[in-house]
Amino acid sequence: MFEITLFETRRRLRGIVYLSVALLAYAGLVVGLYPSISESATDIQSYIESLPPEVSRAFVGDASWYTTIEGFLAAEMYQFVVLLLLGIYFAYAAASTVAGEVEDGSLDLLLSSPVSRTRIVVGKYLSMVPSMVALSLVLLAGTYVGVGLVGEEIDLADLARLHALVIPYLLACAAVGVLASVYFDSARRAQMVGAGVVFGMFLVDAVTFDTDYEWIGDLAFARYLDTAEILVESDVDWGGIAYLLVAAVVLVIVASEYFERKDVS
Amino acid sequence: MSGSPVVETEGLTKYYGDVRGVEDLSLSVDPGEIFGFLGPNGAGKSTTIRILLGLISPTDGAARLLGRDVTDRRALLDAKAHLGYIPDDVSFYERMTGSRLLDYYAGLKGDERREELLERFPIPEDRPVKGYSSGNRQKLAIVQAFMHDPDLMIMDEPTAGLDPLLQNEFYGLLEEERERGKTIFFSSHILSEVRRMCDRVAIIREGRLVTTENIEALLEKSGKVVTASLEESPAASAFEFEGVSRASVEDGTYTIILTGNYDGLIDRLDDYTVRDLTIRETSLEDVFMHFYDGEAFEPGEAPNAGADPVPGAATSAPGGAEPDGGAEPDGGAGPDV
Repeated sequence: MFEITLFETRRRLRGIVYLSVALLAYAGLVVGLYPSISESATDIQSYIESLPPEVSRAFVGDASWYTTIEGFLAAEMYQFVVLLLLGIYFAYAAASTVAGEVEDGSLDLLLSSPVSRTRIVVGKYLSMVPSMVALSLVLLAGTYVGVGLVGEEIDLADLARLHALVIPYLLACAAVGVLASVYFDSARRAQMVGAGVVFGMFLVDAVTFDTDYEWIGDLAFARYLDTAEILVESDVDWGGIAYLLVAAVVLVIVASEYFERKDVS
Repeated sequence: MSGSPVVETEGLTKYYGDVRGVEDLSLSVDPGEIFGFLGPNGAGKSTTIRILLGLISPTDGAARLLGRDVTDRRALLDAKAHLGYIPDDVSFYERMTGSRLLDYYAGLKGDERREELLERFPIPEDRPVKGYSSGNRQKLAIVQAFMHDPDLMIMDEPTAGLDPLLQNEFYGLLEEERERGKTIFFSSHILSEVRRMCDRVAIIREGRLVTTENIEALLEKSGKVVTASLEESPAASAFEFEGVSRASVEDGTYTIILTGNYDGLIDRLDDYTVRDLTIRETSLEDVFMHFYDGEAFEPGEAPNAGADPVPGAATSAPGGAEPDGGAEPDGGAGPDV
């Protein structure tokens, strides 16, 4: 039943190792930077308050939170690396799956096997999950240890919860990628659209938040994972998490059904 | 599997927008048959194969594999459990080793015959496919296609990349499969292999079926190819008489397609000085060319010269040993030789 997922997970292994190393390096940098930030907390807060609100919402977060370790991590690492970078990465990776293999013909053998197309789409999609979990765990461990090393303290439960809630967000992003992957015949186009939609949602959410046009960003996935709130306030928007999961399931179902009907030429 | 067709299409039609893939294609392949599917590039062979595999859906008409409608998802899955497939220009996941790929496909469809096939078609199993030669790739494609012992094999140009030794091994495998009642449907450009392997062929051109025929019957009906070189240069029409389906001349060489007996030909040749004369059986190339475009019935330029060795049929009368009938005793206004 899980042959496709297992096989695809193995193929993904090397990329995940490289990405883990890169993420750990980035986490080390951010955590290592924190002591000097906390030293000049007042200056930085006034600087942030002088930024346009859209910019601070998108890339920095609340000014009074920024100089705490939780707020700093949320702004410099989770907002950026997880919401933006990993979101785009999984949308891009998922977009490469079907379209890339249709394009180079390597899907033909699979399609001639007694395997339904839904199983192919779902199998490939699910192969993203171990990667998401692995990256999330590696980053969790790295961040927690790093924070301890610079002599700061962070609540492990909050941090772990954030890392768990990152998974539904990434699942939704990957589902966008999968849909793009079955819709477009060219892998490049699927990748651009998949990654572009996730990036676009991130921007729309950031730019419209707390404005009269906030509703425009209501569908954006990034709106429903407020990393600063989870870390600083220990507050989770469970309705938002449910939205992310439902969106992921719906997108994968639509993608499967679309692919079942599509001509693969 | 009783006697019902293993592959069957009825009025199969596929348009890609305005572009024709195949049109009104009806054919049927029986169990235990090796069936060749021929046609020039772009004739619709791959379209047909892709419809049969359920990769694309027909615009009109029906196709059945092993009795199952290929447009019915569930039925098609059922059929695919008994199907092997070798795509044209097969692509694999390049970074995987051969054995890991075979493990993967085995998990999806079974591999009762894998070891036996690997002995006949050995590949560097533990190396990534990226480094495989085209022959090794093709062997890997063969092993994966046959390893679950399918009842029906669909192949698109299966021997591309195989050296002659492996080709023979592969033909041997196909013959054994036929003995075991398995059915093989394949497209090919290599007419010698079609001639050697196939029981029947279908020829398609511009998306339409031109003929479906038993190979021997097809060749027999197509007659003999006579090539003659003469001292004189009469018009080609001089050789158009009953029993000749076509006569043409180029660079002083006459090509006559003879479907009747030799008498008429010999009578006619008697009027000239024959410098060279060859009679051979029609090759599949000739038939092929004949069906493709009405013109090119030029045996000398057949695409695959070695393809049709029927040594007994070729008789040659070298120019020196003229059969007595030198009609024009080198008189004055001789032919412009």
